[in-house]
Amino acid sequence: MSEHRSMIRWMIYMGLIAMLLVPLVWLSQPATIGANGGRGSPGGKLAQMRTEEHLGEANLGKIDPTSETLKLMTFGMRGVAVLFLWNKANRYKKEEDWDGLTATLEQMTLLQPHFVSVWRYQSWNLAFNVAAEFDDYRVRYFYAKKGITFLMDGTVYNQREPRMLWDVGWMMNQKIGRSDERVQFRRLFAVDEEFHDLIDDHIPFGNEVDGPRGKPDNWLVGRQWYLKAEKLYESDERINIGQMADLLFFEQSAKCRINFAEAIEKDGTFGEVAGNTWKKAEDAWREYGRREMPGRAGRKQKHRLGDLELHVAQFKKLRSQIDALQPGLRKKMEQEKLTELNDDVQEAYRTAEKQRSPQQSGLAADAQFQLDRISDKDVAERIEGKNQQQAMDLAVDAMNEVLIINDIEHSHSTVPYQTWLERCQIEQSPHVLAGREHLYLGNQQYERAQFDSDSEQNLGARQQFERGFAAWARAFKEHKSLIEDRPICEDLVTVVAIYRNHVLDRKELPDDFPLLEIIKKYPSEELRLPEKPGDEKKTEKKPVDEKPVKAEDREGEQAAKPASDE
Amino acid sequence: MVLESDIPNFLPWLLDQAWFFVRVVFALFCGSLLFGYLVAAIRNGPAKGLIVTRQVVVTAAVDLLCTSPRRIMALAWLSFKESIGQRLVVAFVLFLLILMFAGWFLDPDSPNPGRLYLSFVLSATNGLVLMLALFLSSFSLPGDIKSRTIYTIVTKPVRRSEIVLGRLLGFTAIGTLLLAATGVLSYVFVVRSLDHTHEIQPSDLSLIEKSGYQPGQKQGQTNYAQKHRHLVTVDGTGNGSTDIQHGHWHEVTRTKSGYELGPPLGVLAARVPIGGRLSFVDREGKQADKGISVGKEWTYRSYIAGSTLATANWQFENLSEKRFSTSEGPPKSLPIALSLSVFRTHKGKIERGVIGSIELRNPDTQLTSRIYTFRVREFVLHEIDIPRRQIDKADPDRAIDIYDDLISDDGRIEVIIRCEEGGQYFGMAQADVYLRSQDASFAVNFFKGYLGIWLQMVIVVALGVMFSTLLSAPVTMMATMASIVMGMFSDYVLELASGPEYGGGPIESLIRLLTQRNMTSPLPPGMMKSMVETGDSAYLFALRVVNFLLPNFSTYSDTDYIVNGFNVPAGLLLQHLLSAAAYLLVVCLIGYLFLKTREVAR
Amino acid sequence: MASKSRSKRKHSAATKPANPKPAAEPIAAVAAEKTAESEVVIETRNLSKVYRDFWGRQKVQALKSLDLEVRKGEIFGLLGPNGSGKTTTIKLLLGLLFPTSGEALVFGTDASDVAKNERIGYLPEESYLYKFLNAEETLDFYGRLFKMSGVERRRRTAELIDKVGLRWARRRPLKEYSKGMTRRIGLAQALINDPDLILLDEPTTGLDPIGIREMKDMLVALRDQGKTLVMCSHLLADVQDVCDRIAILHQGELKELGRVDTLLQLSGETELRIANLSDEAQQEIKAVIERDGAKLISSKNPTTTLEDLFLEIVRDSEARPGRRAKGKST
Repeated sequence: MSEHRSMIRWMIYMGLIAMLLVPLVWLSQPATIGANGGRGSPGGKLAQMRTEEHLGEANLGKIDPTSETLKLMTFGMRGVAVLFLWNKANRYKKEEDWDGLTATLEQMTLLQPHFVSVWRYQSWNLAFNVAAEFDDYRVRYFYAKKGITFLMDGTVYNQREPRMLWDVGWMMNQKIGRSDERVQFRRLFAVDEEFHDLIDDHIPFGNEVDGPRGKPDNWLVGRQWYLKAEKLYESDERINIGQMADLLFFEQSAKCRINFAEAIEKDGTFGEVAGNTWKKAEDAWREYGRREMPGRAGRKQKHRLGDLELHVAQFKKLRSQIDALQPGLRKKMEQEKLTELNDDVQEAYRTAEKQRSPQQSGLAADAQFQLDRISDKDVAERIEGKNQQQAMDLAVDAMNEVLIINDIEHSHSTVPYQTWLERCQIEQSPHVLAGREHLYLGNQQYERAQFDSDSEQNLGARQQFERGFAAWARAFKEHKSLIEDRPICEDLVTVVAIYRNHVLDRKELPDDFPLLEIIKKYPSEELRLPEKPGDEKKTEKKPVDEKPVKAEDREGEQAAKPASDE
Repeated sequence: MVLESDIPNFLPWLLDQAWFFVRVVFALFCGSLLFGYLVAAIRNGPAKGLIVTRQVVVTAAVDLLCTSPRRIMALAWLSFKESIGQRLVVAFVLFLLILMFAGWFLDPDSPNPGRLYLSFVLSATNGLVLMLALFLSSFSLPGDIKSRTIYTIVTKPVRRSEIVLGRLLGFTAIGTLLLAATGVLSYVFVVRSLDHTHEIQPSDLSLIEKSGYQPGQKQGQTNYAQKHRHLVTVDGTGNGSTDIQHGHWHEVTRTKSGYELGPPLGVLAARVPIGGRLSFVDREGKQADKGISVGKEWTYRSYIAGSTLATANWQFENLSEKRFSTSEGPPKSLPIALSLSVFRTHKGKIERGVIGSIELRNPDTQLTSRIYTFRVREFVLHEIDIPRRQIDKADPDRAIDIYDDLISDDGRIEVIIRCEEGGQYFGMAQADVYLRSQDASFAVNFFKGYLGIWLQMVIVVALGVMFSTLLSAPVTMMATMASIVMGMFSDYVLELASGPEYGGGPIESLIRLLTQRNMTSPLPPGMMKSMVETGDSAYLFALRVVNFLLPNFSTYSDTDYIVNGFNVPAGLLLQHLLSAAAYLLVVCLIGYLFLKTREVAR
Repeated sequence: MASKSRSKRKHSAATKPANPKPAAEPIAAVAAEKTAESEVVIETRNLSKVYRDFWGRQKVQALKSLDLEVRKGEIFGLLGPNGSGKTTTIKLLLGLLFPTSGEALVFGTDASDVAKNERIGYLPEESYLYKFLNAEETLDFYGRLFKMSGVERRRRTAELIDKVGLRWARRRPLKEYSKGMTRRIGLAQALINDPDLILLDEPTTGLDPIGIREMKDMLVALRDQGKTLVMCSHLLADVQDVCDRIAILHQGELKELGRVDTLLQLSGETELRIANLSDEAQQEIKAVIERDGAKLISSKNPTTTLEDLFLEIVRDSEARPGRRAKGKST
């Protein structure tokens, strides 16, 4: 009898186990690959969730057997191992043992390949800190390249991190294009075919990244990375860029073109090529301006950087429509408000602007502020009759426009969209192009100490400078806003200083000098216009340091042209 | 290479350390005697305890004196045979696997692949061998005791000391075998991995037209192999050499069909440096101990300012012509090696190194040589040969010879280094400038490094055997593992135990963690605070003591020398040997005592 | 009653001494002589052992004040039920344990003195030998631990391997040995140094009858060579067969000590084994007994021991394989 019972018990247990198997399989069956390499069964619930949420190793990035082995070898103490490695890396950095440092960094990324901060920090470390330790610029380039390559490797492990791709682009631009050794680095980059091949493995590129000399330019190659980052970000809603604002994220791909245009001009390319480059830059910038940016403080309404005028016009139209429904009402309300203010404030407001004392100016500004606070909604509420509803609707729209305008202006304070747009347009002007070219050639001649021309083909420094100044003067006349651009004007003043101090041998500038106005607006030490005859001597300051720097740049650029010896 | 502290000469070190050793052993002896008496007194009463203690001491002395080498060898053979079947093979296979993986994540793109491979190979061997020693020594004796096979040993006329020593010898033999095998494998691996050559076609070479080169010299680029290429310079005969890339260069010879590049040279070296004593002169010309600090965290190097009176002077001793003679005869120059650091305060010429100068001076006659300028190449060993015969600055008709005139009669010379660019600084430490004598053999040096690893292994075996006489197998393993970890991180632990603690010791930190206090806010005063502080200082004291008692493995490790290509001096090896021997003596003694006072049949 | 005697003892392969039992008288005399003149090999005075646990509390009192003496040239047996302290005594004598109080002296020196082990052999209960060695290596290794020259050691090794009958398995590692074989090699290692004193812990436990017989014969032979043997066992029959003097322990205390024959002698009874006794003579003897006033306890055909029968059958079977018993009935 007991044997019978134990048999029944056994069967019950077996049955329960079999029943448990069903939900287990449903949960944890692994996904398989089909016969031809395509998708086999999608697997149980967990496997499906893993694929959807992109949590599996295969979804996060490349599966690297070395990395997996190393992770397993730490026996679960991966965190401890990484801690030791960080300490070791910092020690190597302190003792300037670069080989040890790079080896340790490699090991760290093998242990923590999905920890984006590791890649970003260490690539920045290599390219900026470590590179700066070396004296020889070739070695600095090597380490800058190493940092960039390191980060590029990291993107393979983290294929859903647009921030990393963006960082690669940023490093390629900043480290090569904006460092102190940018001349040398850009030159090295252009002929560094091994590096190009490496980059090509990640982002295939063709001739579209070539500079005017037919060699890849770091700005445009960086731009490819920005574009890839943008594409990744836009491909899936769940992919995010962390704390970074969309505004800044999308800015760079367009900015690259602007920087590229500036760079080729510094290298000596002008004329039609430069003009086209600026045109492309303008187009890219406008496209950036057409992108929808999220509003401030989580507002759902998006805005476009390029639409400021549109919205301002729209707002004005709406306001005028409201006013048209009951003309004179707004004026009446303003007067009412004014009478509510203090007497002296009113007094100040009524005084003409030019005759106000400083205190009164302040009070008047306060008054104006109070008056501006009368919103369209207030006006609409006071409208009587059947028009009120329409007025209210218009007021709501107007308020909306105001909000959008605020958003756009706020964005503009972060990214000076208008300024750059105008700049792109101005740079395309043939006067500006000519002006830049003449001044560049003039500088070259000045370096060679050839101040005067010996033939029509070989103009001296003087002639080039003078032609350049004339061209720039025409540019200033054409674009009234150009005089507000401080960097451009100050650069010009510097060149004028060279012209006057060296080419003219400190003689007075002629009274009809084309850029006199600019010189007056942006006074410089080297170019103090003499108020008394004796002052001329005092303002003389030998720009000793200035000369070698400029010569350096030029020397580097000259060497960039023929086949390099690197 | 970085040498943070001087290597003292052998004899003074020996005397100093021997006295220290004697004092420590005496202290330990008295301490353990007292402790043993206390235990015996507790067990048996004070009078009987005294008798017991005396008995133990007498039998111990007899045991140690009558230790028989024959029996030790028999027991060693037994341990050897026990271990050889099992773990050696596993360890071997593991090492081979690691070697294969090494190729994947070692980066030959590094500018110094030799250093990377060497350091990997040495640290992998070190770790592996210590692991082997750990496992062998932890499980053997406790296994014997548990399975009672020790009964048949102990009932033979075998002294306990022989059991301990026999095991030590047996495991050391196995470890040595493994070490030898992996040493040979590693050597082959490193040499083979670094071995490569390049190709260059005659059409790749073109005549050099720049000034400063002899007529007929050609230059060109080799192909791209192992992630680098070389610049080749050949003379009219077609023979020449390449530039230094990734720490090595090749010789170029002309063959019938073109040019042939030899194997890489200079990448695996064992230089024998002759070091000097560094002193500084500050920018006003006054003597100083150290140079200026430029704000770096690591104060190993100090700096001199350029275009001032500041100099860095090295004084060398015991020099003679014989020391620098090569196989080709008397020396033609004085070979100096530099590795200076540069700190720029302004960019200067980016594409060029900063200019410095060297001057030699006789410390007695104050006769100085010509000033030789050079451009500093950072992080690369810069080797300069100063020709021995030169024209006297003061008297153009007279020639002076370095070895005859500039080296004083008792063999001293001063080397003076200046920075010649204003606004720039040179940084140096004593080990950064040295005179090169004949290189030693790399292979021999490589295996010298293994001596250090061997000593570490022997110490671990001894520790394992000592712990295993008292504790069970897993506890022994933990204790030995803890000793290894403490030994490898000895400097760090010492720093931890003696340095300033921000936020207190462990107990205080725990309290701060639980009460969410930050590191700087003071604890509430009162009894608890003083209790906590006392507890912490007691704990830290204990940590210091344990750290002191356990060996500092990093002192036995000569990896730095080998990786950086320097010869390990014989004096250093002797020091290692003696200190390890001293340590072993004490550990074996303790192991013997534990085994003797223990009931085997329990 | 027919007295068919089946007391034809066939000799086994090992030398078999004369049955000590009938010659009780003469041996007692000889033993008495020996007691008078022979030296004391082992002496314990007040020997106690208490097993304490980790905290120092008393757990088990294994031995309580044991006083013992073992003389040279005798086989001494320690008897007792399990847990009576027999093995503890042996371990104390070997120095594997330390006494809680009292002394244990072997050859006049304290038991923990290692030098005395030169003259001692120990056969443990289980064979605690190294499984990865083979027989030759085992004996060679243990031989090295003694003061023996290499030549002598090799000679002894070969001799002992032959003696214990393991010649055919001398190259096989010990982990492949059966229980009997390991016991034999254990005995060999106990004898490698030709010891004067041999301590045996349960020497016959777990062996088959042939093995037991061989072991007993070997023990007696060793005694006849002048060696002293101390064995502890709970197999009473074996102890009775082999030992000269015994001590009986119970719960750590000595309960009885003395010569086997003396102890076992049933003083009030006489045993006669007679061959070829006719019926009349039997009746006569009965009458004599009645006249004397003694009581006839039993008169029947004595039995041989099962051991003898077993050995006979096995020997027979080895000599003539294939022959089967036809169910012999008496």
